[in-house]
Amino acid sequence: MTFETQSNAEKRVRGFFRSGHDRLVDDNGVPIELKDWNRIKRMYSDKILPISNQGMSKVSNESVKVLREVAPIKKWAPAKKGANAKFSGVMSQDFPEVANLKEEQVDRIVDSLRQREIEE
Amino acid sequence: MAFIYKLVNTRHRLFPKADALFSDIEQGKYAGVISTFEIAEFQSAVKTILSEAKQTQASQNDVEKEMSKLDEFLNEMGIMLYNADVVVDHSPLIVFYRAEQLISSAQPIKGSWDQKWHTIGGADAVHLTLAETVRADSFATFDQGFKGVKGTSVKMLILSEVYR
Repeated sequence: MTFETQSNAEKRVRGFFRSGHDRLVDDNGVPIELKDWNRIKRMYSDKILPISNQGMSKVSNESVKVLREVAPIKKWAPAKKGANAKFSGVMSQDFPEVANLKEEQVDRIVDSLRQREIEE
Repeated sequence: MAFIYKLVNTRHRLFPKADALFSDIEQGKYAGVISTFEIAEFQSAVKTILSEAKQTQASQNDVEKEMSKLDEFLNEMGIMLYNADVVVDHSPLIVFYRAEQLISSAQPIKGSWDQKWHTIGGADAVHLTLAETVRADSFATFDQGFKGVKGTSVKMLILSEVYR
């Protein structure tokens, strides 16, 4: 197995940032930014294994992993005209009892999901 | 939970602000993004709201009817949907480790309306980590606790302040 030179490795790592599709993360899964360049160089040392399907292999105490971009299950699309107005308060239209709920009841239900401040 | 305020009742005081956010999305000012984790929370809220309104256990049919409405809303608004399981599986270590980091660095914030202290909770931090992972630019919320979040590239869009 051949090792890449550091300069080739650097070119390739910089390529990841330029591509805008993949990201690099460290062993803890924390994203590595291009501004962390000195750290990246330390992590790669002067020996770097070729990219495999699993990403870059471990080279020293730390390793760099290639994080593939996650694809959405529904892609962005332009909104249909009038879509926002069409769905305003739709639950109260389907179930008139919902319209009779007090604001405090809705607030309490949402609060049970999140620790949100209730705006007076 | 802007989706709740938008879809439940137009008379709620936070409806106009949620409506303004979705109006901006419709007009292309923002590209909306949601995860299946948020949808799970929405379903939880819908079950409770229907049960409370009808004073009886909400039927699964009724809940599914409203979940279909949410699905239609997402489709017609062109809002992107990410599968939270796929995002988590994509990087097994990142979500909970990162959520802990965000909570550790977050500062408690005194609410400007209720004068109580607020800090992001575990589910909030997971939502934010998902947002970071899919590279969302902003996180839209009514929760003032998010104002205390530090060290993230995601901008906090506090809806009570953005839409006055």
